[in-house]
Amino acid sequence: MIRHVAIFILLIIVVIAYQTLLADLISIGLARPDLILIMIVWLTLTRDLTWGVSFGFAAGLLEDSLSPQLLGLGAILKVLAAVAVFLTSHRVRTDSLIIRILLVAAVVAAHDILYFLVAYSFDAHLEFMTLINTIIPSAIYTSIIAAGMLYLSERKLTLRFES
Amino acid sequence: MKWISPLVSRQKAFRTSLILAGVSLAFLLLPIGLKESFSSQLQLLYSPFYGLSNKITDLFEVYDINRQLKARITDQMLELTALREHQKENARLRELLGFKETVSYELISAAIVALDPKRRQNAVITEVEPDAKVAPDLPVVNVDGLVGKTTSVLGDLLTVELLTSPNCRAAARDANTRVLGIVRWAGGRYLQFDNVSLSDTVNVGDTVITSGLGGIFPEDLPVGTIVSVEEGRSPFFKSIQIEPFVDFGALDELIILKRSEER
Repeated sequence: MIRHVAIFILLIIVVIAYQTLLADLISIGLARPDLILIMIVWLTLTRDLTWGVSFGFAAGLLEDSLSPQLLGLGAILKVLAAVAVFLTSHRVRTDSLIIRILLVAAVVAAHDILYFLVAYSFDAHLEFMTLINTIIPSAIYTSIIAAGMLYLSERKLTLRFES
Repeated sequence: MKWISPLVSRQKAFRTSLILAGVSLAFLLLPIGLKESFSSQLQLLYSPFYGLSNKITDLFEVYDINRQLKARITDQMLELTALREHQKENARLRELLGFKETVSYELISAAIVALDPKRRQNAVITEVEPDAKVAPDLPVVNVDGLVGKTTSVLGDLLTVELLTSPNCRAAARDANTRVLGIVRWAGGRYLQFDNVSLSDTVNVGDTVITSGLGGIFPEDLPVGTIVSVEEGRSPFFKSIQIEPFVDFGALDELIILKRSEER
């Protein structure tokens, strides 16, 4: 149990470090890889749903703290993303790398669209075209990054969890 | 509802998902004041990383500024070197201007019509336009450099004494080191650059030009290139040989420089 908590905290630290140190450096225009969603997909598929929703909630809430008006929105969408990945994995064979990458792309696009729609209803001063220009490139860019990460995880070069 | 059955069958995960979704929704529906205070507490987790991020950004900025400053220093060093050269040249030219009057020259073309029968190696006879009004002791050049000076005039014919004549000497200087001397012919293929003391610096390959100090030849007419510098023949002077730019065996069209003084 302690080991699981330590790994969970480590993953949260990795996400914070990524958002503050790396995200701006590797962003291309408006496209920015969503590491949190990649990790939610990865944890839900390789571990279980509890890991996916817990990590999605914590990381989403931390991300939301940077825009207080929408606090909770990112968290709930990431919890739903983990649930969606879990349900998809029971209907589609997700052991193929290609399927996993497509799953990441679909999750990123769906997450961003929902985020935009709810944020728009909260009158968060968002411009429609800017978000359209952001969602598709971000989904593609995140999928490319996810391809590398998932490939490495299959090669057992990333963290391994005991059963 | 069949699609949701895998979720429901895992009660613990289902319960966790519902609870976390509910908590998230509760956060979303909180008043903005509470959201802001809670967000500010969460943002404390980011502060060490933002501090690190700022330091890294500063480091990159310092690196960029340092590179720009180095480039600027190099540019200014080059500019400073050029300015110093110009300063020296300017001082030299000002010095010259202080002693010399302004002189301009009229160019008179002269065609060689004969070799002087008495001095075949040292003089040529040329013809100029009848109204040219040339006089003795005028400098003569061709496209390569200094040829000699006029000596005697008879109507439109005049004798040009070549630099290869023992009687024709020209005040000159090393164009590189500015050392002064006198160019004269002492027999053989080369000219001699005399009166250069042992302490003066002249180098093989330097160009010799007229100095303008003798009164006949204006300054900066090219004479030749130094081909040898020897010491020891004289206790006071170097022995310097110059290969003239002008081929005295193949002279053709000559130009006489007729001085017209102006203020």
